[in-house]
Order: sequence, then structure tokens, then C-alpha cells
Amino acid sequence: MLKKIVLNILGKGASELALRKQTYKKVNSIVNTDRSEPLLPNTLDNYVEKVARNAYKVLDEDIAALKTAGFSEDEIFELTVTAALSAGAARVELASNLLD
Amino acid sequence: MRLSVLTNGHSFLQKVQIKIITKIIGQTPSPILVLSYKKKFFGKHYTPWLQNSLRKTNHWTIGEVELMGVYISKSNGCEYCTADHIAVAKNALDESVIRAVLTDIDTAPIDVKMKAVLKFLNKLCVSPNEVSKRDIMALKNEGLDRDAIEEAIHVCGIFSVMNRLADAFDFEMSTDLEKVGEFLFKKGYGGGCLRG
Repeated sequence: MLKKIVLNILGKGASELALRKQTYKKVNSIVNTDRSEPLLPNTLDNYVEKVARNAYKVLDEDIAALKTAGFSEDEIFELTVTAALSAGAARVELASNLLD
Repeated sequence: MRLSVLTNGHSFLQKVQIKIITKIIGQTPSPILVLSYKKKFFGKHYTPWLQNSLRKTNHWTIGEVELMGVYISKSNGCEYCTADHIAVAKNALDESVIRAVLTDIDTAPIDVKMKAVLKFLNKLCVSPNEVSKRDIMALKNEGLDRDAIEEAIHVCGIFSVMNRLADAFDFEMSTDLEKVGEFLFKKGYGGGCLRG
């Protein structure tokens, strides 16, 4: 069930697929190692770091900065969902792998 | 909501349903707006996982699952989900118990298994890279079996996603928490993604 959700958000979308894959990988790496490679542009990297580590710190200004950097609302929606899903899926995967 | 598409970008049929829901309960809960927008991308697929993980557990009661949701949301600093799921959990648990868990889990009047699993879920939220087999063994030593732990892990997965969406998109706080809580307790989450 979870795999299907991941496959969909890494499939067809309004945002660049490569960027979604990088976003997913970055958040997965934060969950597993507390480290990650930076995304480009920097505005997106800052935003994804916040969503992954402490989403309650996201501000209106973060969304405004993404828009200024050229991201549409649909792209921001998809990249946010991608980051959030990766944070959940990585935790499920990490902990499930320790069960046996 | 920080993205206008999440309040006015839905399909015509969804907009009709949103109007009806708003008329009945005063607002359409933000999670419904997010799960319904571009639903083939995310909501249509996430909603069954949500319903399965929070309402089809074999080892945990709805009250226990909702208490996990409250504790996970608090661990992630998500005020929206903490408030909403306190309202749901109140339908099964005494509110003073829920508040006691949030204040000091060590002295809260809940059983040792629940205490152990909540502490584990907090660690999985806050420092996942430090979670190890020892944590799983500790849960098993408290009498929790593999399937019970796995169910709790999926609850953590569900809330780890929704807490982030709530804060990143700035969900609008529910105006009638009691009504929302009672509805979600009775009906579950299967209707979170609107048709159309």
C-alpha cells in the first residue's frame, strides 16, 4: 500500500520528476543518517530541510521565496507532499527492518 | 492555507461537496482539501493507508491509536493535529488521561505497554537514525508482539506525513473540534478524499 503511494508521487506530475526524486532521497537520507546532499536551488533546499526536520517552522515567507524562485503552486504542492511522504515512509521502512 | 489551489483548485464536483460539507459543519477540514486536490497524485492512494492504519488495527483500540496520534503530533510540534486528535481520542479516553500523557508520560495513568510504545514512537519521530534493534527488543520485553509494533510504526508513518502537511500548508484550525472529533471517531478516515 505504501509502495503504491510512493510510486505515484514519483510518477506523473506538474513538477520536474528529477527534482521530486532528489527531494524524496534527501528526506530519506535525513531520516536515516541525519545528513543529506543539498538541493538546488537553495530556496528549495532550505524549505525541504524545514519540512523534513521541523515543519512547524515553515513560514509564509518560505512559500513566497519558492514562488519568487519560479515554482508554481502545483509544483510546491507536489514537492511538499514528496518531502512529507518521504519522512513518513522512511520511518516505516527503517523501523520495520528492525522487527525480525 | 498557504497555497490558494488547496482552497479553490478542486474539480467542479469536489467544489459542490466542499460547499455541502461547509454548510453542514461550518468549514471543510483542511486534510480533506489536501487529500482531494490532485487526488490521483497523492490523496487517492494515501487515504486507504490512513484508514487501514488508524481504523483497521488488530492489536490496538481506536482510543489507543488516537492517543498514539496525539503523542506523535506533539512530538512533531504539530498543533493542528494534536488538537484534532485529542478531540477524537476524547471519545474513547478520559481527557485527563490524554493531558497527563502530554504533561509527563512517566507519571501518566496508562499501562506499561502503552507507555513503552509511545516513548518508542517519540524516538522514531525525533531521532529516527538512533532507533535500533534494542528499542524493538525493549518493546518485545514489555509483551508487545511483532504485529502490534508494526501497526504502531504505521501510525507513526501516517502522522509523520500529515503533521508535515498540516504545518507546511498551514491548516486552518477546526472551529468545532468536538463535532470533528466525534465524526472522525465514529466514521473514520475513509472519506478524506472527495470524489470527482
